[in-house]
Amino acid sequence: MTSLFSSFNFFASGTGIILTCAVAAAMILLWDWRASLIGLIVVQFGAAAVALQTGQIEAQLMIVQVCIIALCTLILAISIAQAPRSPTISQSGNWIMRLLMLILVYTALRLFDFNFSLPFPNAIEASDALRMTVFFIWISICALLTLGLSNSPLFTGVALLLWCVPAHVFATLLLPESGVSVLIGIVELLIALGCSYLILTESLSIKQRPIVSTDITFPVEGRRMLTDSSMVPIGEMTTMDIPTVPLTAEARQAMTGVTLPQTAPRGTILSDTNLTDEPLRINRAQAAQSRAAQSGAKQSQKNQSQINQMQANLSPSDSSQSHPRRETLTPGTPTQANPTQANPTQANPTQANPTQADPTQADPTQADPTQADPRQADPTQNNQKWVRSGSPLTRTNLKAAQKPLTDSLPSRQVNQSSPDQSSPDQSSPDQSLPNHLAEELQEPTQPTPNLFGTSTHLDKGYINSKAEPQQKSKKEKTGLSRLFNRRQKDETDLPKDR
Amino acid sequence: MNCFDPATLNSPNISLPLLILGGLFLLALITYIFRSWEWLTTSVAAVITGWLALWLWNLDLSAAPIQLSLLNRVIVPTGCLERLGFMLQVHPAAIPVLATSMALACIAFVLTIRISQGHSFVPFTLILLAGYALLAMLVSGPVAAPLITPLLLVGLSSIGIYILQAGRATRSDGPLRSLIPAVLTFPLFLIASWYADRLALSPRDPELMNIVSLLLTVGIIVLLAPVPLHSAMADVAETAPPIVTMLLTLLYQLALLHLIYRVLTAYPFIPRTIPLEFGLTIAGVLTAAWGGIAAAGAEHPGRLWGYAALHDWGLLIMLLGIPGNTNWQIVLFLFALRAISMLTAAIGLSAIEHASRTFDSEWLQGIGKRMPWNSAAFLIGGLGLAGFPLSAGFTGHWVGLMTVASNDWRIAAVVMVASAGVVIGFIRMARTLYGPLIQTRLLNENPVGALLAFVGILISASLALSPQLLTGPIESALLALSR
Repeated sequence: MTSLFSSFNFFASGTGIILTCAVAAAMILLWDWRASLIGLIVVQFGAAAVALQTGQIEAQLMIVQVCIIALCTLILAISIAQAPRSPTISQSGNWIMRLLMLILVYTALRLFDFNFSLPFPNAIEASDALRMTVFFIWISICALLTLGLSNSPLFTGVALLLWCVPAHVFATLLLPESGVSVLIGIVELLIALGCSYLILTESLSIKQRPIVSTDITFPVEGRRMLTDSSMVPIGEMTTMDIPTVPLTAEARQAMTGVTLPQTAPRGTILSDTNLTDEPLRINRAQAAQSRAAQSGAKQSQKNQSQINQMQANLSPSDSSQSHPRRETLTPGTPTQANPTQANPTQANPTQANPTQADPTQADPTQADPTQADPRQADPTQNNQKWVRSGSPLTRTNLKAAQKPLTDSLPSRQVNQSSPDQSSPDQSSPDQSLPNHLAEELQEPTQPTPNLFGTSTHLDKGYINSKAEPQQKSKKEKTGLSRLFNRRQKDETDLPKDR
Repeated sequence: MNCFDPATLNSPNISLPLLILGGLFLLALITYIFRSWEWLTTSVAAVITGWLALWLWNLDLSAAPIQLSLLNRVIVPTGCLERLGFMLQVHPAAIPVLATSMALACIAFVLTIRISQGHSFVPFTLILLAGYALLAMLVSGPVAAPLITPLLLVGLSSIGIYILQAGRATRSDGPLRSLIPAVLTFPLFLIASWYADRLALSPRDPELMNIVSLLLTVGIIVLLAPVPLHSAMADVAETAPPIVTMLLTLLYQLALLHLIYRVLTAYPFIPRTIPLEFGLTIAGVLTAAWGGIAAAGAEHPGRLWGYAALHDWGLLIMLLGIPGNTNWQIVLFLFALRAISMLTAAIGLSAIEHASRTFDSEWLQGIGKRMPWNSAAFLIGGLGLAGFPLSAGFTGHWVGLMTVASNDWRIAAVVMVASAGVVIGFIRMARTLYGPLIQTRLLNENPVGALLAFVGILISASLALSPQLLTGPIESALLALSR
């Protein structure tokens, strides 16, 4: 190894020192882990050659130091190789900025004559001392620049090791018999091990970090914001958090592959807000509102029991099959009778008015519960399934499921979706009802939050899955939630164009 | 001096440093093997470190050697251990530092029995404890003992990375930045030691004195990590387990205070040749002010805690700049209250973190309704770091501010305003913690956890009402340091 240093004596010359300084600068400029690790070894080799040139240091000490730095770089490289490609989150600026910083520092060093002199033993010649001073100051500045520009364990580790290079040479020169150089070597290994550990943990944490939208990340990272931890995929939510999504039988069949009974679908409560190209995600804030709305569940249940009683009076034969939840899904209710719920006309807010749905306009087989298909009357076989699963609902899947649905509908049902027929003017309470019940049904009621946070128009047995929660929290109005809501709104508008 | 010689290993005498270091390393090895049985390892470590703390505090170095009948050995309290150019001895000045370090570790272990801080916490902490004990017992080394300390601190900070990160997939900024001050300063101390050796040959050389003073002053100030080198404290408090944060922060700062005391004692010309007082005052004011401002805007409870600790640390840095032995008494008093406040806050914060799943804001909202005692412990501990009335830190801040105001009232006013910022931050945090509960699935706090929080609050309140309880221990510690 001693002959190795003598064969690379070039590093101790003026050109060699400039080259080593250039390598240190290139480490900053390139900002690549391979360049940094290789550059670190080169700088250490150059520093060892310069130190040996003084004749005051034993070659073995420098050989050991080069080996230690090589070992440190190996430790860091192994960690980098172990970690999945993990570009650091913290931006270090582009190469132009780094180049400008190097130029600025170099110019400042040239212009500012601070007469700084490092301590050297008297045995060292003045020319050697001057070269070493310039060299070590530049290396130290490069280490500080790397520290300032970096927040990643790799580059911080490289910077700290770079800082240790001149420190080791000085300790060896100034305190030759103290054994401090051995301690510095141990400390360097500890630093490398610690940083390599942090490299591995950093690569794990990248997925969990919220990405701040800046001009650097915009717009590519904008979509990733939707995968921020504040957005919880349905599949990951617990049962309490899952809003119930009414879905048609076809849609479910298309997604799950489970063959359902081939009865004619009686309608759909598909909500356009659920149609997305990406897995449906639900804002935590909305989930929190859902839970807050549970407080109104008791009132909702009370009203439902009243409706149960009313419907039992109307159709005693059907009351035996009544189900608390089925009351909100009664086949033949206007919205269910309307098969084109997915039709853009649904976006008309007047549809949310229960009075617009005229039971008399509906198909008599649907309007009459006694003549309804038993499988529809049976909540367990109803094609309007309540989906709790976290299977991703994609726009593509649901669109494919919707198409045959609308195609297979009778023309009369399609006609019912025309705005004229669903206008409030044509809506009237069912004439067959007793007067007091008819009045009660006609009376508009306030949407009551149910267990899942959606509002229920109890008088018509109608679920308004699009109804807004009654109370908006501040959290929902800010940040990602606002973005998410805007996205939802966009999704709602999309079907209009189709 | 009765130093340990490896050739006389069969000698019946065992020096106390060997017993402490060897015992801690052996315990670290055993606990690492059984690290998955966390409650067992923490309990054993708590018992041993607690016993060591009590024994060391009451140790009389002039007493006769202690006979260990089981091992058939005799422990020589004043015996020294010399290896690799380092000489270790339990001298009177080291005893308070050793006992305090052991006591802090014991408390941390007790708290860890209930809430895990990572499987490797116990063994790594024991190794760190051995390292800090080594620093305290270091009499001489390859260079002067205080001047080699920063290099050893680099090694200890590197080991501390593992338990600060604790295998968490979180940002690594805090552990990483905790390395930087020690790494940056150790070359300055080594160069200063070379000049100090030359100074011994010509003790009245003013140029050498200036250089040594300059290097050591810069080194000390960087090691204290004032603004803008402060980021490690807040980052660590945000991401690291709270009990680990508390323990490592206090161990490091205790070692640092001991180092400064030793440097100022060994090189008394420093304050005369370099405006050390001015530098420390400026650094302290900046740190305290920034800590207050940042705390006022912090929303993360860990970060808020970190900034409150930074504010308190700024006041302590300021007091270090005031020469005289009286001010060391105030410094130790403030540090003791700081330790109590940080401990109380860590008790509460660790329980809150455990329940709120790494401080998820949704889980944090209203958590005080389910965990009233732990939330109160966090708030009271944090307010103690700001010197809020009726908290543990109030008397320390009051005395410190009075001392600072006696020199310059404007600085004291700045610190007061900064304290208000910390208080605002904690009031906002209290509104969050005791606000409407969102996560109704949160369970009520564990009775044992509530009891620990209550004990922490009780100690804080006791010291707030009767700060003279600390007078005795601080005076004896100061007396031991001055020997």
